Parts: sequence; C-alpha cells; structure tokens
Amino acid sequence: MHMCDEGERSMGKHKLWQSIEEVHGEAHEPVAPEPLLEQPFSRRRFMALLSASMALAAGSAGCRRPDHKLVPAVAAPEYQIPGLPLFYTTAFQHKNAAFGLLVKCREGRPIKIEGNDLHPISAGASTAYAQASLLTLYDPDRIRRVRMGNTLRVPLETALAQLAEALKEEAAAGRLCYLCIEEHCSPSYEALLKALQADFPWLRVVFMPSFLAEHAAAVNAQVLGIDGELVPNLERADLIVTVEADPLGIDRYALWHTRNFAARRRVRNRQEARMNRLVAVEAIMSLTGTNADTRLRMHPAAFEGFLAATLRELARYRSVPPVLLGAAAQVPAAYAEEAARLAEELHQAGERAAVLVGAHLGEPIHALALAINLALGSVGQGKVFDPAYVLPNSHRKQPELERFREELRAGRVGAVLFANVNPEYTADTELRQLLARVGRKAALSLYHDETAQSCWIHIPVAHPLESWGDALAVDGTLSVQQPLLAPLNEGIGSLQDVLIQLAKVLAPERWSEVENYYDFVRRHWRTAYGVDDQQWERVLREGIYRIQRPAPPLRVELNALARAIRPSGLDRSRLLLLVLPSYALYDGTYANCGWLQELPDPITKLTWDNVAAMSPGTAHRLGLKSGDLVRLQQEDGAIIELPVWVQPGMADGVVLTNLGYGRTAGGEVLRNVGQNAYPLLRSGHLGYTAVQLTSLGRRYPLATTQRYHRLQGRPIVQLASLEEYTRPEGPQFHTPEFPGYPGADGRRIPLTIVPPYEYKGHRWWMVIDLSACTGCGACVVACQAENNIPVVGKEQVLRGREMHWIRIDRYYVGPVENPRVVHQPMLCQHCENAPCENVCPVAATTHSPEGLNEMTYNRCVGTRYCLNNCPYKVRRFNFLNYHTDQRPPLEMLFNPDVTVRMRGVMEKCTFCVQRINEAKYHAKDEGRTRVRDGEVLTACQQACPAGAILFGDANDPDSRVSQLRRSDRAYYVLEELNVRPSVTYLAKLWNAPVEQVHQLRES
Amino acid sequence: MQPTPATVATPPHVNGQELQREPLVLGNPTLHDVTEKIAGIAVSRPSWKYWLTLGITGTAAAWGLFCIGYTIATGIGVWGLNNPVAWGWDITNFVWWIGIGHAGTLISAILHLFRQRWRTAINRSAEAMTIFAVICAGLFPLIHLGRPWFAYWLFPYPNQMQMWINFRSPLVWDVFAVSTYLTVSILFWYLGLIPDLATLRNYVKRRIPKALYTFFSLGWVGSARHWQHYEIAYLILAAISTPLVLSVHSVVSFDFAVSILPGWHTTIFPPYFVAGAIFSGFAMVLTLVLIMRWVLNLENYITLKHIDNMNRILLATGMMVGYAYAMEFFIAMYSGNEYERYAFLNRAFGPYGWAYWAMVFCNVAVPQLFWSPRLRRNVVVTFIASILVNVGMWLERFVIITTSLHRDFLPSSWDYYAPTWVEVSIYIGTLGIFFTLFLLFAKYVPVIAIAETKAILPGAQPEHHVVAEAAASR
Repeated sequence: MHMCDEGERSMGKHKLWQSIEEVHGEAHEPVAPEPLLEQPFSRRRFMALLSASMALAAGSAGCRRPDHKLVPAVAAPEYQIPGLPLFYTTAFQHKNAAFGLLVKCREGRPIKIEGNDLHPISAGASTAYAQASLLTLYDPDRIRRVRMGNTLRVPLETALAQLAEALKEEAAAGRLCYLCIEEHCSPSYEALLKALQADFPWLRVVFMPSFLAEHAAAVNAQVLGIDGELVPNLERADLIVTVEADPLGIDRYALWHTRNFAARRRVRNRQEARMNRLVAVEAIMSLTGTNADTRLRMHPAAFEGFLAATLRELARYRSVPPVLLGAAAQVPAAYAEEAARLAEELHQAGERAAVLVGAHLGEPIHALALAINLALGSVGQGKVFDPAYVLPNSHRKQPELERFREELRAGRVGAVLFANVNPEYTADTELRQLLARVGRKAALSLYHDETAQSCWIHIPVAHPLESWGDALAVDGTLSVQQPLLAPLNEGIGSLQDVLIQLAKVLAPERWSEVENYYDFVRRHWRTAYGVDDQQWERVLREGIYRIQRPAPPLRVELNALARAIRPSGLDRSRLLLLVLPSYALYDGTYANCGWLQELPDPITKLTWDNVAAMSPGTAHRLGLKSGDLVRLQQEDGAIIELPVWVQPGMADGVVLTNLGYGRTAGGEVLRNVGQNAYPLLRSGHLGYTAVQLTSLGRRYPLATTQRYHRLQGRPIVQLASLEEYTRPEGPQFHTPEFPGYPGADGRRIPLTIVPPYEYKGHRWWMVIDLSACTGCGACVVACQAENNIPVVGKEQVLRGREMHWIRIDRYYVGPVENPRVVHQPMLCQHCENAPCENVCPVAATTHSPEGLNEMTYNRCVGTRYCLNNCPYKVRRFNFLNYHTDQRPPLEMLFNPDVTVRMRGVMEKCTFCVQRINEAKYHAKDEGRTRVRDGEVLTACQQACPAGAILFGDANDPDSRVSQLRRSDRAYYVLEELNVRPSVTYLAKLWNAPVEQVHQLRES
Repeated sequence: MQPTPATVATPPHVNGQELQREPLVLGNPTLHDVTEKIAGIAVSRPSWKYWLTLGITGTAAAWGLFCIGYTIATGIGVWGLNNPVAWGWDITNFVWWIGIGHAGTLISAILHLFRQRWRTAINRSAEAMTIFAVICAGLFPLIHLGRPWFAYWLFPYPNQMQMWINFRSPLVWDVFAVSTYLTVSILFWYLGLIPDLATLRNYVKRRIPKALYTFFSLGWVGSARHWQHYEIAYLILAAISTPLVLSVHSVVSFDFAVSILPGWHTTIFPPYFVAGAIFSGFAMVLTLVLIMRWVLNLENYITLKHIDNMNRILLATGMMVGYAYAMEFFIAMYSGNEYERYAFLNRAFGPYGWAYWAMVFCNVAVPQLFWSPRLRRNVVVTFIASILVNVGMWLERFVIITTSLHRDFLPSSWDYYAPTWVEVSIYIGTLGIFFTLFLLFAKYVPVIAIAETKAILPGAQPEHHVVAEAAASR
C-alpha cells in the first residue's frame, strides 16, 4: 500500500521515478522490523506465522539468496568462461593407427570428441572407437589405486620402490625383465623405450599385439624390402578390388579409407557423374563387401586361384614378368570367367587400380595381389600403394615374440611388466602357462583385467585423454596428445610417466633431469624435429605437425615374389572357421564400453554378443537356425560354444566369429558378454582353420536391433546404376503422384484447404547421401555421446527398446544366398506435417518456426501415441529409468546442454538443437541475423567420415543443403504419406552394369 | 390409403388360433411378490457361494492393484511393450472394457425410447455393468502413461505453465467422451434407482441400511407428482444418452482412425467399433445375467424370451462385425495401397494370424448358432457363446492394435510383442475389480428395476383381452 501511494503521488507531480532502486528505496525506508513474538498473540497473527513457517519448510529455504553479497573472481581462470565450451586438440591412437582429435570441454571436463578438421586423416570426422574413448575416460570400473596382491591403496612410491628392488634383484641374478607393450605409433614412446633399454641392459621390450596378421609385412619384406604394411591411399584409386580386405570396416585406418572412398561416391549431378568402383571378393560378409559395386561371393580356397587367373589374364594386356606367370601357373585357376573380366577392368584402370588383400589371408594371396599391383603400376611414389605410407610399427612381431617364449622356456625371464596388454585374455595356453611361471609380474593398465589379476603389482595408469604423448599418422602427420584433465586415478600419471618414475628409482643419477613424460616429449620434439617453444604452442593449437619422411627407393625382388606365390592348399571339404576382430569391440580393448557393446554390428545388427555366422546354405545343411547353440572344435581341441547366426551373403562352408568378447575381468559391463574366441587363433594368427561343428540342441537369445531385412518392394531405398543415372532421361527416383500443385522446393503439395506454413527465418534441413554412407556407425555413437543417450543393456535390446536416436537400417536386396546390401541412416525426419505432433494430447511435441520437430520432455506424460503414429519409428521411449544406475564419475560425461531424460518420457533426434542455438547466439553476438552455412554441424554429420550427412538452412539459397535437395538424386522416404519430411535422401548409385541393378531391384 | 380397421385391431392368427404375446414375467407374481423377491436379496444373508466368489474376485482385484502399483513405481518397462509396439494389452483392455460398457446405455436409453419393455428385467444390471466396465476402462489410459502422476495434464485447466491441451489429439477427445459417458451413465443409473431405493428403505428393518437407503432415495414417496417428474427426467436422460452410445465408441475408434498407420487409418472404424461394442456389451450382459439368474433364482423375471431377444442382437451385431472384417480386407485390397494391403495380409497370415482366425471364429462363426430358435433359448449354449464372444472381441482389439503396430512402414523397425506377467495380471485385476463391484451391487442394490417390473406384470397395463382374462383368472 505504502509503495502504491508514493508512486501515485509522484506520478501526480509528473516526477517520474528514475530507476527500480529509487522506487524500492522509498518503499523500504519506513518499514521497521518488529520482533515476531513480542506482540500480543492474535488468531490472525498465529495463522500468519503458521502459514509463513509452512511455506518456508515446504522447500523455499534452498531458493533464498545468501544474505551477503557474493563477489565473483576478478581473476577468472584463464580461457574458461562458464557455459562456453573450449576445444583442445589431441591425438587418438587405435593400436598403431592415429588421427587428430578436437575435444570439447565444458567447465574443465571433456564432454565430446570430434575429429580434428586440420588433421589430414580425420578431417573433422571420427570413429566410434574415438567417440567411445570418452566413456572409457569416465568409466567407473577403471581402477584408481595401486594394488599389490590383495593389498589395496598402496602408495605409488611404495609400489615403485618394491618393483625397482625386485627388478634389481632379478638383474643381479642375471635374469631379464620384459616389458610387453601394445602396438602404438608414438615416436616419443619409442624414444623412451629405447632410452630405457639403453640404460638398463637387462630390460627387453616386446610388442605383444592381441592378434597377429603379418603376411603382408612378410611379403613386403621379402619383395620390397619394407618390413611393414603399406597403407593404400584410396583417394588415388579408381578401381578397388578387395580380397576379403575390409578397408571400410575393421581396418585400423577405416576412417581415412572411408573418407577417401566416399569422396569419390558423392556424385553431384548427372552431367559430372564419375565414381570409383569397388569390387569385393569375399567369403564372409564384410562392411566393405556391403559397399561393393560388384561383390563376388567366393570360398576362401578359391582366392588364390582367382588371383592367379587374374594375373595370367592380365598378361594379355600388360607385361607381367614371366617368373611371376610361371609361379601363378602352379596355382589352379578358379572363377576364370570372372577373373578375365576383372583383368580387363584392372588393365583399363591401370595404375589407378589396386588389389587389397585381407590381413588374415596367407602369404600366397598377398604375393599374388602384389604381383598384380606391380603389373598395374599401382605401387610406387605417389601411387595407391606409396612406400612412404608404411603403417608405423607394422613390422613382423612374431620373431620377437618367439624369442620371448624361448627366454621364458629357458627360465631366463625374472620379471615381466605388462603395459596396457592383456595376454591372460588374448594369448594362447602355452604362453599363459609360461607366463604363470614368472614370479614378478606387474601390470600397468586402466582396468583390473585378467592379466592384472595375475600380477603382483597393478599400477593404474592414466587414460590417453589424461596424458601427454604424441602420435604419428601413416601420412607423416605428427600430433601431440594433450591431457584434457588431471588423471582421475588418484593423480597417477600415464604409462610413460610411471615408467619414467620407475627409471628414476632404478637409476636416479641418469633420470633425474627428466621431470616427467611431458618433459621427455618436449625434449624429443626439440631434438628430433627441432620444434621450439613457439612452434610447440602452434602444434598444440592446431594439433598437427608435418614431417618429411624420405620414401625408400622401390626395389622389387621378383624371385622372392615368385617364391611366395604357391598353392596354400586350404581344405575345401572341411568347415572353415575365421576369427576376426569385431566391429564394435575390436580386440576386446573396448569391451567395457557400453556405447560400443550396444552399437549394432553394421552387418548383423547384433549387440552384446559374438556369434558363429554362417551362410543360409551351410545352416540349412547343418539343420541350424539363428540362435541355436553350437560347439566349434579345432583339431587341437580348442573349443568355443557360440550361438549360430545365419548371415546371407557368406560363402558356404565358412564360419565367422569375432574377437573382443568373453572377457572375464576388468569391469561390470563386459561381464558375461559373448565368448572368448582367442583360443581359436593359431599361435595368435588370424586365418582360416578347419573346425568341427556340433549342435548343442539349446537356444540362446540374440539381441539384434533389426529383425527384418527385406524392403518388401517398398520405395524406401532408391537405387540406380551409375550408367543408368548418367543417361539424359535418367531414372526417376520415387515421386508419388497425388492431386496437388508443385511447391517451392519442387515437391508436390496436395490439395488442401490449409495453406502450407511459411518458414521465414531459418529452415533446418538435412541431406543424406546413400551413395556415400558405408554404414560404419560412427554417427550412432557420436549422437549417443552428444545427446546423453543411455545404454540400455542386452535384456532391453532383446525387448526392442534400444534408445539410439539415429540408426542405420540395413536391407538385403536380391537372393538370400548372395544378396546386396544397402545402408540407410534413419533418424527423425522433422516432418512439416508431423503425424506425431497432432496426436499428442498435451502438446509435448510441437513444430518450431525453423522447421524442427521439437520434443518438450518436461511436458511429456508418455502416452506413446506419437511413437505409434511415427511412420519412421524413430521415436524412443524411456520405458525405464535408464539413467538411474549411473555410477560416478559417469555423470561428468553428460553434455550440460542436453536434458537427461527420466523414465516415462519420449525422446528422439532434435537435429542437435543445442548446437543450432549455440550457433545462433554466436551469430547474434557478431551482429548477424543468420547463421552461416556450415556453422551448425549435427553430431552425426560431424562424425561421419564419409561426409554422407549434410545439415543446413534450406531457406538460404546458397547453402549446400539447398542445392543438394534439388539434386537429381533427391527423394524422400515415404513421401506418399504427405508428412513432408525435412530430410532429403540422395539415391544410392552402384557403379555396376544396369542389368545387375535392375535384376536386384526387381527381385 | 385407408387401412382397414380389421387388420389393425385383430391380433395375428396362426391356424385359426390367436398368437399369444409371450409374458415378460412368468409365474404371475403379485406386486408384493416382486418386492419380496428382489428387495429380499438385500436383507437375506449371503450364501457361502457369494463369499467364495467375492473372495476370489477380491483377491484378483487386489493382485491387479498391486501390479498397477508395481508398474507405476518401476515404469512401463515392466510391460512387454517395445519400440514399434507402444500400445499392447493396455489399450486393448481399455477398448474392450469401453465396448462392454456400451450395452448398458443401449439397453437403458435406446430400448427405452423405442419402448422395448423387455429391457426392464436386465436394464439395471446392464447399467451397473456399464459403470463398472467404464471404471475398469478408465484405469488403463491412466496407468499406461509413462508418467501417470501427470495424468491431470490431459484435462484443460488454467495453470501456471500457461499450457493448454492439444485439441487436435484424439486422446483428448477420449478424455471428454469417456468422462461424459461415465457421468451420464451414473446419473441415469442412479435416477432409475431412486424409486427402488425407496422401496428398499421401506422394506429393510436394520437401522444403518435403512438410514443409507433413506439418504439415497432422496425422499421419494411415490406421489403422482414424483412419478411425473421422474418419468420426464428419465426420458430426457435417455435422450441425452442415446447419442452417447454412438459417440463414445466412435471417439474411441478415432484413436486409431485419425492416425496414419495402415490398418488403423480407415473410415470404417466408427460404425465398426460401435457395432463391435454393442456386440461385446450384450455378450457381457448375457454372461452376467445368466449367472445372476441362476444364483439368485430370477428365472421368472429374466425369462428365456429375454435371452432370446439378446441373442438376436448378438446375431445381428455379430454379422455387422463380420461384414466390417470383410470390408476392411476389401478396402485394403481395392485401395492399391501397398502398406494397407500388407497390413491386412499380415493380420491374417502373419505372426498374429492365430489371433485373427480365433477372432473370426468367435465373433462371426459362433453367433451363427443363433439362427436356430432352439439354441437361442438354450441357456448353456448362450452362456458359452457369450464367453466366446467376449474373448473374440478382446482379440479383435488386440489384433487391430498389435498387428498394425508391429509391422508398419519401414521393415527395419518391425518387431514382435508379447505381454509380460504384469500386463496379464493387471487385466485379470480389472476383471476382479469388475466382478467385485458387480457382486457388491447385486447384494445391496435391486438387481432388477422393481418399479418398472411391476409395470409390466401381466395385467398391469391396459392390454388385449386375452391377457386381461388371464389376470382375471388369477
């Protein structure tokens, strides 16, 4: 009342108040505080007090501001602005392959991983493994404290002192100490290991890869004098022939290969339609095979005959050294007709053709492929197979390992240090038994895994995102691995830091000047590459540093090559088993990562399991169905029990299973997932082996995210052959006819009494190029990381409740024995006439003026009608509280810009609305009214190595999406429903003869 | 045209004998007999059979309520629903119960307006059944929500969020349709009860029941003025309820018809659903009435004629439903729409084909028995048939909901749905709730409209002389 009176009076005198404070000042002055309970107690007063105390008790206490003024820090932490992300460059190493990363940090914690767009390998894209390394960083199962036997919480100093003492004792007794390391591509690490070996003569370093596949290195060493694998540069190839090679899938440089391959598939229009061509020859169904223009299903025993025939046919067009032809003549020809056709094609492509052979295949096949590549001229400086592009540390490791075994057998090994390797899980029985005899074993790793459990000391080392380091990519790009946060494992440094600390204890006089590994890396970069402080900072900022590596002159030992070409005599009559790393978990290193466990295999769409995949023909012959348990037994008695998976497209008589499963220790996630296939490797080598199969007569539930694989003749995926497409009349891609008139975007608008909504500002749009998409699944994990999508576990996937906002639909086209595969990323189509929107009773899902179909989580009551009415079935319902069981520190992983959804709420792709809004704020800050093209990248788009996803503003006529959505390949999935989706698909083109594609389309 | 007076006045004759209209109440009870018989139920001690049945139904109800609590505490994830099939037994049960709730209003309102006096024997229990069925039905939309504690957000009410409901959503229409139906059904039932409650008030001796009957009979004394007001009010309510019979299930069918899903998006749904609802409602009335008739010895009041009449309705609506099944297929095939065609082929020959053919058997084949007058009046056959029709109508809703959802447009997301024990338990629980409420009703409320029955006793109405003679002979 008082304030009102004052106000009215001053208004009357035309004396307007100047500020809020003035009004408040006047208002507050006369009110004198009175003691609450000293007045006579009236009923009204009692009620007033009662209600006031109730209101306070009811929870407003937490909302009150403190009584005193809070003073923000004048000297705020450098760089950090609360609420704004910071990006740091670092490097990601996947075994001995590496690429640059850009890590997004919020308030000092990394929350999202992107590829470094300056790095020539990643160019902004990333892989599922790289994305998932973030989850590993915050993995609650990571061990945090040093452990000695059953004693926990040992100080690091104590452990190192005891370890050093033991090592000294062993050395004094004349025994060796072995340091087993995993494959890596870090020059500084290599330098550190060299320095350690130089200082401690009793120390031996041995590479202990999870599996061996060194036939390529063996052939290269004999023929080219290069002990290592040559990584092909697919950018330079017009015709790629893969013989069970999987450059787009399991290859360590799949990211780079996919980028290079897909860059040649994104056809702009009819007039300039040129594509590379991929011919896949394989017995299994690989991701590369699914992307092939022509796929030849072949029994592995025929590979060498086929390649030999091709080489001989090639001699009709080009000069092939007679010694090679002579050697090839020893190999009985197979598939002669196909070989003749292929030879002609290869000859036409010349040095822009390349034959790639799977690492698991034997020497003769590698030798034949090398002979063909040499004949084509695709090996050499600037060619597809460039001698400069040798995969770091891909030399043959078996000799070192053999020596290690010898030393173990001879009892000359006193101590073994396992640095991030897990031989108790990966090694064969003999090696494990030999290792068991070693008394002093120490593990330096992230998890208390099988090997760590067998060790006397276990030192938890820091995660790569917590450690300094460096990495050398195959193209000669160096990058620095920068730590993004202090190690979460009680401050114990990286593996290299621990090794340096150990060296300091062992030989303080020589190692005192090296402060830590960071110091070591800096010194190494200074001495090896001459990088001074200023340059160093630039390297950190950009994340790359190019070094010149002189390519060795190419010399070819033809005789050695001819010697390597010989029939290998794979027994066709037996059932053959092949064990390969899995797409999701690779060799098991990533087994404790829920994102990867739940990432559907790109071919089988299985999660949380490995299977014995076999062709429908083989399964029929053996009377098996998917889900039947079988026992596979090798001749030497190695056994594995696996569920059968009937995989169309595989050759008959072949069984494929994957590594990485069947872990028994090291975390909660990996427990009871699949079976360990390592015992089936022959002395650690990948390759085909004969097995005996017995049905166990039991069933096993398999959690797959896609249960139906046929297009049912529906125009969901549009296909054409390149040849057909380039014809002036071209094929018409799915344009449904209904009465209406053409709209502004070229799509028909059906007759309606409601005029279409006019989008005035931005109009967000996505274009997905099916020709480019290889189905790798990087987008799925990237989306999961960006949008706080929960992992639901096998039981929920079995119930069909996986939560991925983007999925890759995989359809088989053609006969079930030998089908072709199409991959189709499917996500919310943000329909203009969204069927989900009008059925929601509480208006929890609505349309934004920028064309987004928005989901208001806190309004959703969960009727699930929107999910029923979504023709694309891309909505995901939180059937249970999937986030409640998060153990710390996993909550640090959450993207603070995205709501964490509770149970009972619907969710779905938002087109990364948080990123759109961020870009809009930036635009506003810079005084722009519009966001620039390319300023907003959705998480899936950013991760996609194939560049198959494009996002932007369709109202901007110059934006790339505006141009592409008018492409002659554009179509809309289920356009006939008139839901008017905001995602344009570009039809898939196959660089294959018209008849082949027609045949498939009709089948 | 001038009708000849003879044809109007003369009753139909067969073989020279006058055809007799079958009496609606047998045994020639006096007005007092009727009161004794029906009001007597409320004062008599219930038999052990009653307690046993109540125990079973009460246990089922309690178990169902426990499972509802479990669902609400844990999440819809305890059900078998998945990504394509987001509605399963929950909405199936909802539509089934709503359908059952249809017969009550039809019998009370429409048959009243058409002066079908045979309705008096069954209208009270049919109306009670309606209310209990709608209560069971209303439970499902509530508990099937992901966050049921926000169910009130489906009602339009002014709120601090400044949020309004989405009037374009059929679910909102459902809220209005079902709540209106429930309100009107309760009013109608209660209004019809008032004279009978007054009879009970006068009949019972014990203090508390008497006080309660006194309170609920609203001071009814049976004066001519009361009767006049009562008849007018009853007629008005009947007129209000009549369109509801058609609207409620039409609106429920909009839940499906308004969507874009193949197998749901069809214009045939409103009449098809209404016919189905009447069909299932009469089947449930038959089930209940036959039990009641046997347990409470009401053979004289619920006669074979009643059963015959209801079986005729079953036959008629069963054929309507059968026609709808055939027409659905025809439209799907004739449309040329591949999604639609597939949805129906999948319905009949897909993984849920067993449910489809069981449904066709129960709903189309079984009622054909009632072409035979003998079977129409056979209590055992009628009872079994009514159960089968109930099963068939449940399957119909299940087939519509599940087969359309589990395989829609993109084959990549196709899946299969099976319920968990929780869903089954909740369904059984609602059966328990329904029968428990019905048993309590049968005990404490006149199961047959006493006042109305007295009005249709032989001789109670001015009638043709033959009946008058019969009255005189008494």
